[in-house]
Amino acid sequence: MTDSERTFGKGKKIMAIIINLDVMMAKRKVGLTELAKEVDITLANLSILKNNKAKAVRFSTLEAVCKALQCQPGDILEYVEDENST
Amino acid sequence: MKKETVIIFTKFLLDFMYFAGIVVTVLLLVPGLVERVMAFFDFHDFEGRYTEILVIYFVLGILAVLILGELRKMFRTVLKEDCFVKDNVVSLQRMGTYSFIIAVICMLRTVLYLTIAMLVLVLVFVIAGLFSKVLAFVFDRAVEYKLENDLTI
Repeated sequence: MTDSERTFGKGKKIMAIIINLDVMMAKRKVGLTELAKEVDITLANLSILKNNKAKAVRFSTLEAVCKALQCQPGDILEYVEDENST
Repeated sequence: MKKETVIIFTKFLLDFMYFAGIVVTVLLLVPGLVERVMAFFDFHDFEGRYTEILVIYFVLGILAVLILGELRKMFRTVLKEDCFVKDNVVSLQRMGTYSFIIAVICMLRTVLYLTIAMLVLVLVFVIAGLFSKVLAFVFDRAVEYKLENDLTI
């Protein structure tokens, strides 16, 4: 399975790393626009991240998100066993 | 300014060759025109094979125009500053295929009327075909890297 198949869908394959940004944002009561401004990324990019469409995250972005949401990387990143792996 | 001049010149050349190619290819179909041109330049070869060679040149003309069409399509994406797209990979693959077909047709022409120039053309278009195909693969990877980069937050 290629990365693009995994991310952009062929059938029901899902990305193994899930971003639980919306959960943390709800806990901290931070909106998307506000967070994008604090993290200094565009709203479009933050949406990509939030909707699990991103292929990679820079450490600098992760650091900025954790600082803005006062949380640990583990609070927003979750590993889910791939459905199609053995 | 210099870069803009090159871009303008390239676009003009592509457009000129594309439309001139269409005109010349269509003119091959005008009865008697090619004979008159050949007589004007005192060129009396192809005797006995005139129709077959005319058909071959007509097909070659169509293929050349198709290649130029793909090039124009690709250049438009360059002007839009978004050239690393899958469409360009397809265009390169097509250009490679057309080049190989041209090489095959040129080989046919050498069977009817052998010239060294035509043999050289066969080689040139085989190399051009290979060049396009290899570039298509390279471009395909470039598109994947760009997509990955675009989706790296």
